[in-house]
Amino acid sequence: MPHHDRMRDPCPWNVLNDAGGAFAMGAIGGGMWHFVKGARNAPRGERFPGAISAMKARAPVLGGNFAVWGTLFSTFDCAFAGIRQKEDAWNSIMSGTLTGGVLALRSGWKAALISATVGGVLLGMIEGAGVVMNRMNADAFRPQAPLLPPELQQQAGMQPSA
Amino acid sequence: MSFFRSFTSSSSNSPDGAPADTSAPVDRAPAPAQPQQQQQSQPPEIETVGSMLSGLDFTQASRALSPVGQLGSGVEYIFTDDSPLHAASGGFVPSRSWTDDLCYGTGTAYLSGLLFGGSWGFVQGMRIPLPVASAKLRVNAVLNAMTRRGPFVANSIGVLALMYNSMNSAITSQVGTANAPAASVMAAASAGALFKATSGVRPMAISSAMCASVAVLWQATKQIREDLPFVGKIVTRSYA
Repeated sequence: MPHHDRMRDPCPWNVLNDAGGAFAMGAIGGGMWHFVKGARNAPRGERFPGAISAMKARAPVLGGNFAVWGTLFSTFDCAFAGIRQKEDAWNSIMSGTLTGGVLALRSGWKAALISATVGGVLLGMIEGAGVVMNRMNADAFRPQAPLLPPELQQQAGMQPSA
Repeated sequence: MSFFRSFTSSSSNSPDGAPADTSAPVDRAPAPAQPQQQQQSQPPEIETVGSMLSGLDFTQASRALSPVGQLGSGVEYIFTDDSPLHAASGGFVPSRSWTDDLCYGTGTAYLSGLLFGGSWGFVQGMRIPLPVASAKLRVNAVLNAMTRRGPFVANSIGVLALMYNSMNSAITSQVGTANAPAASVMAAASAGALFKATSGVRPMAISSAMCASVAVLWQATKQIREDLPFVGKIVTRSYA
């Protein structure tokens, strides 16, 4: 049975969405992080300028790293969905593995292998958590047998429901 | 009932309880999921849940209900009507909310910045004079220049786009008009000013003016695209 996640956009374009979302996450989160870190590392009296310059120097770089990760991941995800004609958790896990591996390729095969494993395990944990949440929330959508109309209930010899 | 019947392959069961064709395979179908219905003891002309469901062609029904059900079978956008403020934002796909605007805008800006910066670095690396003619040195020079220019341009443009899109959404939601060109230009001007906020008043003004003029150009492009319906419309919108 083919799956299609309708909360997400169709495939070539959601690469842009994921790149932007990852960049925004990295830049905003990194901005806050490095603002605090810069303020703590700056000498007294220079707290605010130190915080600002640390944020300016590091937040965009972190955002860029996030964006590259998100772009690669989303591209692989789309490629797997296109090749396998399926959208399931394995696409994400394989994309995470491949992304981790490709991004660490310049540090050698061993580092790439380790990074790929980390990426795959990380995405597997995320997908697993999604499955667990889905199981926990599934009771809200428990399927129920449809009620028969009263005349058919009488024909079937059932007590008509109130 | 008629809804279900329209998807059933067998139309032999009549709704008023008339004797049905007992040789129809749907009436013989066992229904282990509904033991309380006691299908075995019933006369065969009664339409039970089990017989109703066993006659359903679920593949056909799901296709009729959701045309998106298959990969690559066309696209249907179901949430654009909920947020008319964002639905006509001029991107490749209709936007559902301000987060869509933010993500698509930032992502597009980042990736085009990467493309632009990478090409800039490529040209620069090809022009660097080498002491000896060597392909290896040339590749090294090009790679160095590309990795220096590409991420720098992309990060800067990404941050600019992040600021612009958040301000644009904020202004639009305050003013309440869909997709106002003035809001876009204002947002671009303030994003440019904020981007250069630490370098002094003059750089702020220059950056602000540059960003505002880019926004004016972008709004004009969008206007032209609206007027010429065949230019650059990848996804047809349900309303304009």
